[in-house]
Amino acid sequence: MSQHPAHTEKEAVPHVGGSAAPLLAVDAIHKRFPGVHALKGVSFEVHAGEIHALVGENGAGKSTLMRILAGVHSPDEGTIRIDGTAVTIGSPAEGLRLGIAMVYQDTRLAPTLDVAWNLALGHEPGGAVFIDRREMDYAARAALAAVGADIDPRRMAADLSRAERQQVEIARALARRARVLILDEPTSALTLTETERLMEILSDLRARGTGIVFISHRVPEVLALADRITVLKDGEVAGEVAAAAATPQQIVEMMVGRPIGLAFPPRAEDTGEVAACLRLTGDDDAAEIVLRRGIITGFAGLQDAGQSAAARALFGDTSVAYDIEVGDARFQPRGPADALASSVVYVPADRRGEGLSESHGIRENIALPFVDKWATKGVLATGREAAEVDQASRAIGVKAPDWETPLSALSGGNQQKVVFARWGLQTADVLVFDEPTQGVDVATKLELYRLIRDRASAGAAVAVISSDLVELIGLSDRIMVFSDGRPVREVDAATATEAGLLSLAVTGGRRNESRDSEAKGARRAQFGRYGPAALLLLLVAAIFTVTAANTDFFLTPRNLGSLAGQAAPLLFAALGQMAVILLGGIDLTVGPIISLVTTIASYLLAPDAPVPAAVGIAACLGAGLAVGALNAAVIVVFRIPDLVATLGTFSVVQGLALMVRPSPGGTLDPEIAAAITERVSRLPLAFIAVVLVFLLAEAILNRGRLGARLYALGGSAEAAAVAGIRGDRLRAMAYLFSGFMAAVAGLIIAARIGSGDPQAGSAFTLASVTAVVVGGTSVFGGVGTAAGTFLGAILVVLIQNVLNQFQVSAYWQYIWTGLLTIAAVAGHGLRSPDRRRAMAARARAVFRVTQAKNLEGET
Amino acid sequence: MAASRTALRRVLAELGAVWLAVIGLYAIASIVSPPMLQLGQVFNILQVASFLGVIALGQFVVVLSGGIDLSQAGVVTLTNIVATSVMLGEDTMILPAIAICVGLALVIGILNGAMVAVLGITPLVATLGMNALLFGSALVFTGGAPRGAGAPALDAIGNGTLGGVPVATLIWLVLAAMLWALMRQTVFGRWLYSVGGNARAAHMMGVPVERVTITAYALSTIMAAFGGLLLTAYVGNPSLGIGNQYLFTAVAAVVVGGAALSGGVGSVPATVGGAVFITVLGSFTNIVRVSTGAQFVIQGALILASVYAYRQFARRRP
Repeated sequence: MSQHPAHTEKEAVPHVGGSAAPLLAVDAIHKRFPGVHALKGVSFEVHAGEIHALVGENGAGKSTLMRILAGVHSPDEGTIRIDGTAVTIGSPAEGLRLGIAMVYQDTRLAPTLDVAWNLALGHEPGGAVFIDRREMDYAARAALAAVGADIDPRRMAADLSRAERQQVEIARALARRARVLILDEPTSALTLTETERLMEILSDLRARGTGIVFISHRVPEVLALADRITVLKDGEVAGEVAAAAATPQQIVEMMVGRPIGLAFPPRAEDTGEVAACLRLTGDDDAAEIVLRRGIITGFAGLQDAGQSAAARALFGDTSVAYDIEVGDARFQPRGPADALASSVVYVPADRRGEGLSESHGIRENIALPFVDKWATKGVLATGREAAEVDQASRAIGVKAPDWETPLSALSGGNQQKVVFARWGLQTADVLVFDEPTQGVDVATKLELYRLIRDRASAGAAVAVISSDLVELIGLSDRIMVFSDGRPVREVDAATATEAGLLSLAVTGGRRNESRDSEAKGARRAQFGRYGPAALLLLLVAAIFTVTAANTDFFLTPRNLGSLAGQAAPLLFAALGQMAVILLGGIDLTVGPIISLVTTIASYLLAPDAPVPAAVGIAACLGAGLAVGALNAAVIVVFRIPDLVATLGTFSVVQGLALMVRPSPGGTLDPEIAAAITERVSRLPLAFIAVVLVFLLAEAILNRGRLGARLYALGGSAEAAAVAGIRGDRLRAMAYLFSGFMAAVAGLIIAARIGSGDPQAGSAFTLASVTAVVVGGTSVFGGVGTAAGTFLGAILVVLIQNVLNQFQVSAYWQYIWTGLLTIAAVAGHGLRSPDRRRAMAARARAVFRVTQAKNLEGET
Repeated sequence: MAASRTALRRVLAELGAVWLAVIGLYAIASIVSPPMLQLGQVFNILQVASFLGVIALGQFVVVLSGGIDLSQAGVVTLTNIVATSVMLGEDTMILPAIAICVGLALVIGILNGAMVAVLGITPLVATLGMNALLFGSALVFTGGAPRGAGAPALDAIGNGTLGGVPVATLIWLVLAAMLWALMRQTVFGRWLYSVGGNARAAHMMGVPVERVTITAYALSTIMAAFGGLLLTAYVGNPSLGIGNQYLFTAVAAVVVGGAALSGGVGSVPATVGGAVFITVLGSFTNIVRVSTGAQFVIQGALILASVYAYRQFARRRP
């Protein structure tokens, strides 16, 4: 074994793996984003059989460095070496090939695929088209066993707990022979037992020679687990130490780079009266949250341990029930508007998602909650608005050329100042800041601390939620510790320590271990897949039975044959549409393509056609493919959203159809038409063909490589990217397929009507969407079966046929197609309890009379 | 100086860069066909633009909220059918006809809005389904052969002029001015922009998102009913195909006017410009004898090109 010179200065650090070149090394990496120099020459290395922890505050550059290693970002300067050889990592999939696997904080599993698929995605065992499911399950069990995870490989990723998802991701990394495993804040959402289990797994992996990068800001945990610790601060390495020789104090001081406590404004001297009081409904053991005027109460706990839920309860979110008193009266806000009317303000952590509208200017963003209060009879008080905004912005020190500057042009810190300026205009009795300093530079942080303290000094009861315990201890007067969804203990901030809070946070909860029901397991998987189709089958069977009992003609072979003949084109078109909708898109050009194909057929497949029939048919199918290619180009290359894109191409293709044949006419060669509409003992050949195509499609979706890729991409673009799926190419293929299928449908229609008609397909755009959504495919992508789409299309055609039997005018067709589509999509939404609850809340919001009158006992 | 330049840019953004395109296109059309420059021809174009213009105002409100309304075509058709059936050529029935049509549009709009804001249905699917339902209703109601006629007195509105300016155009501009005031001078307008910009953030700041959304869809169908009534006054007859062209031209006018389909961005004057542009383009293509089919192609290409152009522009802005 040859000694590598670059390695000699690290003698103090024990390496299990011995003395070769580092498994992974980065040297003098720089990364700049607009306005931020995120990494300033960072060097870092990890050896085989070593756990190297990377710690630092939020915004210190940990995540950026990890994204560079995982191939999400590319460095502006510096080199990455694997086994001493310089490499470039262009994408997450490439990183994985090089042996670097990342386990993200928010996991990258495809939510609508089961565990075994997720483990194998991109590397499934089996043939070129179909995978070997048994082998895949076997491999999945082996991979899960290797990390000691007891998870059924048939469970959907969406049904797993966070700890389980993490275990699956680690198992996947190892199954791909990853030699370097990067874990981003892996314990942030885990219970104590789950955390211990993870520690065991990681220790075991280390013993087997895996290099592990462990990102965390939990110092005690890091000291217990890691061999070496690198501290990042403001994009630079503040120091590297051997874990055995380090103390918590030393690490924390390197992280913050300042003596703790000095940078925070002084604590409150007096405690005011109680402004609000929250009790967790039906839980007598939980601590009572008491918010007093004049002081800052910190909410501490692991990620999602219930801090935000408590704050949101004040703002009318009822997903976690609290009994709340504000002042002396019971407080039951039905939404943010009620809370604001009672001087209760919650400032959410997700600034861009819930706090701001980035396309709008500073003035509009600051004034939004107040415009109705300043207005007279609904007319804006523009003068007052300008004055208030100007004063508030200046008071906070928002930096911008003027107050019309859009928020998208501001830095994170400046955006947060806009939020603070806004709430500076609200007299608040209770004021909750959720992660107020996230993504904010250090200088601005200090200003924000002062501003938060000022609000408390001015008499508000202030609560601050922060995952940065150092910040929380420094800023707060009292600290309420949350554990596993409930408040457990209030402590004095002046005497609190990080380790103390952390131990309360991980041990305080008691009823935590089995919060994930194992019940929704594998038995649900196949039922979940075919549930909508089964319901649809029952409906179709019922319609069949009732109609057959009431009419003589319905069950005759002739009528059934004609039913099948009508169904064939819609079935083809719907299958194409489904491929697109599975990816969360929509193809509005299905109808126009059918029209276009009939017009082309009426020339090229006419009795006196200038070309042979084969060429004519090829031209028709080629036209469909060409439209599919156009859609793909507009969406994938020019990045125009699917809806607008196909709205535009809809008009283009419809126009082309009208150009080819402005009005219905022409004839198809009767022989060709007869060949296309050929029947085998009354059953149209086209129907038999489409049944076979659907069988193949269902098999591919359920057991094929392509099917899993569609579900993965439709369910989560990030998950697909990590698995190495080329999303753009797949999306383009889906549109090509949809165009082709619509062209096949067009040929059948042309043969059935025997001529060309530029409006022949006009009903098919909606009908194809109807068939797909009625069949149980979600318009958001990632969920759906070919079996369901088949039955959906059959249902559409069946209803038409049945109404004919009962002599109902064909004009009703439009009405029930419309109703059926709406009902199917709405029904989808109602399937999940979460959505039902949200729907009920929105319905109540519509009918609420006024905001303030519903407050009980407001004074 | 930089400040005054950004201020100028903001005024232009509110008025709409599309007006520059209108002037350019009109200049080209005039070179090809000098009669375009006559005042009579200008008014002709404005007359035709009025119908699209009024309908597009409604579409603009929905697009601003972050949605899309493809049921407007159905509303226009249904309005035409219902209005002519109620009026049957009698002047005394004008007011009842208008009341019934607007009432109907209000109900449809509230249903659309409730589907989107309460049931959470994708706007495209909800309104496309509604459009089929409305068109089917018109078919069933008439049995495929519409009878009835517009009242003679309506001709003064549909084809009349006031000081040379078509009455329909004046109505359009008054509606546009009212809507502009509603968008920029009232709390509702501010709320609508905020809902389109970021609905969750708007909710967190106490904006009644659901009610704002439902109102937006109601305004859209009411504008479509106004457009349908003007069109009925202009044509005088019932026609089942009368609304079809507005399914996409209304969206095209709004998009060409620069409103973002993601919501929160756009202005009323720019939407007026978008409607004028689409109409000028239509008459220009008529002058150069382009077929209906080719007009569809151009219109589709125009939607794609303007979406692309505005997106590029928005990305490059500081």
